[in-house]
Amino acid sequence: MLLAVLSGFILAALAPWLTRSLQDKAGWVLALLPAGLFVYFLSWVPVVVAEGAQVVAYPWIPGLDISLTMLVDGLSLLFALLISGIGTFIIIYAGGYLHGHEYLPRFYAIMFSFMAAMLGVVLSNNLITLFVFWELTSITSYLLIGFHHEEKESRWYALQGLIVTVGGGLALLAGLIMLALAGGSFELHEILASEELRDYGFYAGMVILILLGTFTKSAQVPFHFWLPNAMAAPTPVSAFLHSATMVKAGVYLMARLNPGIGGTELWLYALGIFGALTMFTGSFMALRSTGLKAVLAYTTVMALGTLTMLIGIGTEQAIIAAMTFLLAHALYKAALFMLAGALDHETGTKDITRLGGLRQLMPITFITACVAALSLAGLPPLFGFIAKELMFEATLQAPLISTFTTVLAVVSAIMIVAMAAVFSLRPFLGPLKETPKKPHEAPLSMLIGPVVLAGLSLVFGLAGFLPATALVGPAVAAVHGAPLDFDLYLWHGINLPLMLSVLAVVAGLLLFWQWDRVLAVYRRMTFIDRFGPERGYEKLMDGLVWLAAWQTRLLQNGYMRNYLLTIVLTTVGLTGWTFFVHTGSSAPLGTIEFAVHEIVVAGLVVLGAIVASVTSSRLGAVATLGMVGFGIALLYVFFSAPDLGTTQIMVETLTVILLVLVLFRLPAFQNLSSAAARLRDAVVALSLGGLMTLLILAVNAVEVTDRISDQLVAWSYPEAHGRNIVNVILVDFRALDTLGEIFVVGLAAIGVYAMIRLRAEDRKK
Amino acid sequence: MTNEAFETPNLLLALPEIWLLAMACVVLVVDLFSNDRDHGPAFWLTQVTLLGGIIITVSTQWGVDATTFSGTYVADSLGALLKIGILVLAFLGFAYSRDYMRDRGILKGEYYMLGLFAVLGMMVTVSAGNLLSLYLGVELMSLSLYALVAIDRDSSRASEAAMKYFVLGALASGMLLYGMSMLYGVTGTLDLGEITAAAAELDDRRFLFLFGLVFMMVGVAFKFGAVPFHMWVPDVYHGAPTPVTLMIATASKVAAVGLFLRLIGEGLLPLLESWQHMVVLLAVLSLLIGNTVALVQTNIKRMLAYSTFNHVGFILMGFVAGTPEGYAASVFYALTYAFTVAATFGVVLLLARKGFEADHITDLKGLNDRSPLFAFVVLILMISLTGIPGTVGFYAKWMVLKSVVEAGFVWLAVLAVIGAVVGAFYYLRLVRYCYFDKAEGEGPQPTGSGGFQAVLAANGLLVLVAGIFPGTLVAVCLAAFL
Repeated sequence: MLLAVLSGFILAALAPWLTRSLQDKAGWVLALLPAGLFVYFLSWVPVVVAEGAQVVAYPWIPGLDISLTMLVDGLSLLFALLISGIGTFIIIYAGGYLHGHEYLPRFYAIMFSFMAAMLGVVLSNNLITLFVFWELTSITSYLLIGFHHEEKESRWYALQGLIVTVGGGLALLAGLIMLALAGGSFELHEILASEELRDYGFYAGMVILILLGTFTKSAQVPFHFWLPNAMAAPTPVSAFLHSATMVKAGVYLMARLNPGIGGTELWLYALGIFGALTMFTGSFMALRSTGLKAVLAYTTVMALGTLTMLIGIGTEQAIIAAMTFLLAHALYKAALFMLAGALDHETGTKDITRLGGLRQLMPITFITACVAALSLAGLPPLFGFIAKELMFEATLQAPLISTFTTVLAVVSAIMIVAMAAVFSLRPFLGPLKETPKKPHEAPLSMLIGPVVLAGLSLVFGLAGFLPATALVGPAVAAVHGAPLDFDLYLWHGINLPLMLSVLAVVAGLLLFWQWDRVLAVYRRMTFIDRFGPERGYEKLMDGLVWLAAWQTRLLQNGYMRNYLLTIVLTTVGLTGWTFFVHTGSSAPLGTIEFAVHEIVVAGLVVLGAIVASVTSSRLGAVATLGMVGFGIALLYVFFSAPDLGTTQIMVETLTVILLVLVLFRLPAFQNLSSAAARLRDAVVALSLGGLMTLLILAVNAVEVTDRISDQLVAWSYPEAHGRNIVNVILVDFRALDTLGEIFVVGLAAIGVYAMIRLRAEDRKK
Repeated sequence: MTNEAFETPNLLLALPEIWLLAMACVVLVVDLFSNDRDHGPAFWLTQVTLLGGIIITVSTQWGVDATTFSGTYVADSLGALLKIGILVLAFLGFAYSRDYMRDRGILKGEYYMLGLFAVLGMMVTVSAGNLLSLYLGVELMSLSLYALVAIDRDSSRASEAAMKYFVLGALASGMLLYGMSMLYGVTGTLDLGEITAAAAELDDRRFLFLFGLVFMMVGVAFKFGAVPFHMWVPDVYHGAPTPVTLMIATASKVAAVGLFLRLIGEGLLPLLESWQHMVVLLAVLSLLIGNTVALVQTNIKRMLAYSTFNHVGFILMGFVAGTPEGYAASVFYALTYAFTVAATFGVVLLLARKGFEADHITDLKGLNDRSPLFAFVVLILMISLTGIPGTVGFYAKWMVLKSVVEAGFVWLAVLAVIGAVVGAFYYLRLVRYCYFDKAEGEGPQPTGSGGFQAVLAANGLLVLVAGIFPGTLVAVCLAAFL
C-alpha cells in the first residue's frame, strides 16, 4: 500500500527521462502505472466490502507522533479508484494534447507527483501525513497552473490559487492540531472513534479552521474565484486536478470527518448554506460564460457546492446522494473537460460562440459530448439522473434549511440544464463556422478517455446495482459511520423529485433557447466583476503591500535616533507595566535622605546634562558632559568608593580629550531637528529618567542581601594584613579588577596619544 | 559569602572553548608570518579548528552533565548541541565567503580571527552557568561582530551599519547588565542554578526580580532581533558584507537561543508566568511586522532580514510553553532555520562576482537556465523557509505550533500560521524568478570554486534530506532537554 502511494513519486523522478526516450508512445507507456494502481485498488474492493475499514501502518518519525498509516475504507477507495482510473486516461490524453511540447517531460514529472500526493491525501490515516500530502497537491497544482509560464496571466493565477489554497491549508493545520488534541490521537480511525469531539471546548473554532481549509481547497463561496482562474492550466490538468480530484480533497476531508465532528447545527448551517450558495453561484456564473473551459469550471464549482451542501445536511439520504453525485460528477466532468480540450486543440478556440456545425467533422466528439452532457443535465437513463433525483430528495428532507436548499437546487439545476445543452449542441449544430485551425476528429489518445468515461455514465445509470454495491455503498458506510442498505435505480415512480427534474429540464431548455439574450443581460451586470471576492483578494494583497511600505517609513527609516526612541519607549512601557501591574500602586517606595553637598553635586550633574542637550556648541556639549562624569565620580567618593571614583575620573578625562580631538575633525554643528521633534525626544528621555528614579526608590525600600562591604571590612586585617581597607580592596581583593582598569585606561591613553600625534602631523603639513 | 578555597577547575570539560581560544591565537600568529596573499593558511587552519571543535564537543560534552570553573561553565547536551550547530554554521560561513572577500579586497587575517572569537563568544554563552560567564560570552560575540560588520572600512554603508549596530547593541548590553545586577542584588549570587532556586521562593522582593527580568528580556530580545528591538537587523544585514551577514543571521541566532534558554528559559523558569506574556508580545509583534514588511523588499538580504523576524517569532513561540518539548522545538527550529538561511546566503555569495552583488531579487532571473542544480537548491530552501510540508521547515513549524497549542495559545498558533502564508508569497517569488523568467544580460553565473559549490550543494541537499528523514534531528533535540 505504501508503495502504491509512493510509486507516483518514483515514476515522477523517472518520467522526464522516459518521456524523452519513448517519444510518441510515452503517454501510453506511462499510463501503465495508474492503470496498474487502478487494478490494485480494485482488488481491495472485495476486502473492504466484506471486512470493512483496514488500517495499514508504517513508522516514520516516532519523535513527533507521525507515522505513515493508511486507512483503506469505502471512501478512500472510491477516491483512489477515481484518481488512478481517471489518471490513466489523463496521462494518455496529455500525450496527444501536449504532443511535441518542449516541457512535456516536466509536465509528466509534476503530474505523477500530484497523483501520488493526491493518493496520499485520501489514503492517509495520520493527520499530519494527510496534511503533508494535502499541501503537496497545492504546490503541484501551482506548478501545473503556471505551466505556460511565459504568459503573465498563468503566473498570476497560479500564484493566486497557491495563496488561497495554501492559506486555507495552514488554517487547516491549526484545525487538525486541535482535532488531534480533542481526539487524543493523530490517527484518524482513533479520532473518529472518539465520542467527545463535539463536546470539545474549542469545537466551533476547530470546525471553522478545518472548514477554512476545505472551503478554499474545494472552491466554496467566497473562495471560489481561484478555480475558474486555474483554467489557465493545460486542459489535462484542468480535467484531472481542478475537476475530478484535487478540488475534491476538501469534500473528501469533510466527508471523512463527518462521522466524528458532523451532525451539529454549526456543521449543518456552515456546510448547508455555504454549499448551497456555492452551488447557485457556480451555475449562475456558468450561464454567463462563453469559454468551453470556463463553463465547465463553473459547473465544477456548482458540483462542489452541491457535495458540500449534501454532506452538511448529513441525513442518510443526503450521504447516499453525496457519494452518488461524487461518482457521477467525476465521470461526466472528466469526459467533458477532455472533450473541451479536444475541441480547443482541433479548432484553436475555446469560445463557444465562435464554434458551430462540427457534427460531421467530429462525430465521435459530438456523440460523446451529448452522452456526458445528458449526465450533467441529469436526464435518464444516465447516472447523473440518479444522482440528481437523490439530491432533490435529500434537500427536500433536509432539517431546518430544506426550503432554502431546495429552491437553490432547482434554480441551479435549471441553469445547468441550459449550459449542458449549450455545451453539447452549440459547437456541433448549425452552420459550420470559421475557426483558427482547420478542424478534424481528435486522435485516439484524446478520445479513449471521454468515450470510456461517458460510457460508464451510461452503464452505471442502467445498472445502478453495480456502483451501489461496489463503490457507493462502502463509501456511504464510511461517511455515515455505519453501513446503510440502499439501492440505486432510475425509476422511483412519480414523486416530487421527479416533478422538480421535469421542471428543471423544461425551464433549462427555455433558457438554452434564449441564451443569447441571457448573455446580453449578463453583460449589463458589471457589478459582478467590480465587487466579487476576487476584488477582495486583490485589495487584500494591495493592502499588505501598502502596509509594508507604511511600516517601513514609520519604523525602518534608517535614522538611529528613531531606533533608539523605539527601544527606549518599549523598555519604559514594559517596565512601567510590570511596575504597576505586579506591584500595584502601593509600590513600596523608599525615601532617601540627602546631605547638602550631595544635593549640590547632583544639581551640577543635572545642570550639566541639561546644558549638554540644549547647547548648540559641540565643545560646550563635551565640556558639560564631562561635568556630569566628574560629578558622578565625586558622588562615588562621597559614598566611600574612592577606587571607583578614581577610575571614573581617569576615564572621564580621557573621554573628554578623545571627544574633543575627534569632534574637531567634524563639519560645523548643524541643527537638524525641529522644535517638535526635540520636545518629543525630551519627553521620551524624561520618561526613561522618571522610570529609573522610581526603580531606584523601589529598590531602596527593599533590604538587599548582606552588604559585601561588611565582609571586606571583616577580612581586611585577618586575611590580607592591611589596615587601609581601600588599599586592600584595590591591590588584593580586587587586584584583577584593578589590573583590568589600568589596562583599559592605558589603552585609552595610547589612543589619545595617537590622536594628538595625528593632529600634530596634520599641522606640519 | 564564604571564603572558598581555590579549586583547580576540570579543564577537560571546557576543552572545546580552550581549543578554540588556543587555535584563534595560532591563526593570528600564523597569519602574521604568512606571505600568502589569499590568507590560505589562516583559512585552512580556521576550518580545521572548527571541525576539530565539532569533534571535541561531540566526544567530550554530548550526554555529559557537569560543571566546572566553580559552576560558571556548564557542559551538557544542550550546550553541546548548540555548539555543534554554531561550529558547523561558522564552517559553512567561512567556506562560502573566501571568494567573495578576496574579490572585494577585504580578505584579511582579522576576518578569520574575529570570526573565531565571535564563535568562541557564542560557545561560552551557550555553556554559561553563571551570569558573569554569560555576559562575557555575549560581549565577546557582540564586539567581534561589530568589528566584522565594519571590516570593509571603505564602504560607508557598512560603516553606518556597524555604528548603528554598536550603539544600539551597547545600549542593549547595558540593559542586560542592569537586569543582571538587579538579580544579583536580590539573590546575592551570580550562579544561575542558585538564582533559579531563589526565584522559586517568592517573597516581598519578587518585584525586583521582575524588573531585572524585564531589562534582561530587552537585552535578549535585541540579540535575537525580535520586534520592537529589531531595527538594527535590516540595516546591518544589508550593510555588512554578505559573509558577515551570514554569520549574524545564522550562528548568532543559535547563540541567542542558548542565551535565552540559559538565562530565562531555564534560569528563571519559576517566573514563567511573568515572562510568558512578554515573550508572547515579542513573538506576535515579530510575526506581524516581519511578514508584512518583507513583502515589499526587493533586496534579498533585506528581505531575509525582515523574514528573520517571522522566524524569530516562531522560535520565541517555542519558549512560550516553558516545557522541554517547547524548548526542543525552538532549538530544532533555530538550527534548521540557520542551516537553510546559511545556504540561501551561500547562493547569493555564489552568484556574486566583482561589481555584481546578486542581492537583488531579480538578479536570480533565469538561474534555472544557467545552473539547474542551484536553481533546485533555491527551490528547496525557499519551500523549506515557507514551511511547506515535506521539508524540514515544516517540521520545525509543526513542533512549535504543537507546543503553543498545548500551552493553550491557539490564537497565537493561528496568527503564526497566517504569517507563514504571507511568507509563502515572498519566498516563492524568488523561486518564480529562478524558474519562470529569462535571464537579463549576463544573468546569474555560479562563480565559486569547486569546493565551495560542493559544500553549498551538500548544504542545500541536506535540507532536503532532513525534510524527508527529520526523525534523528528531532530525537537529538528532544534528548538535549531530557
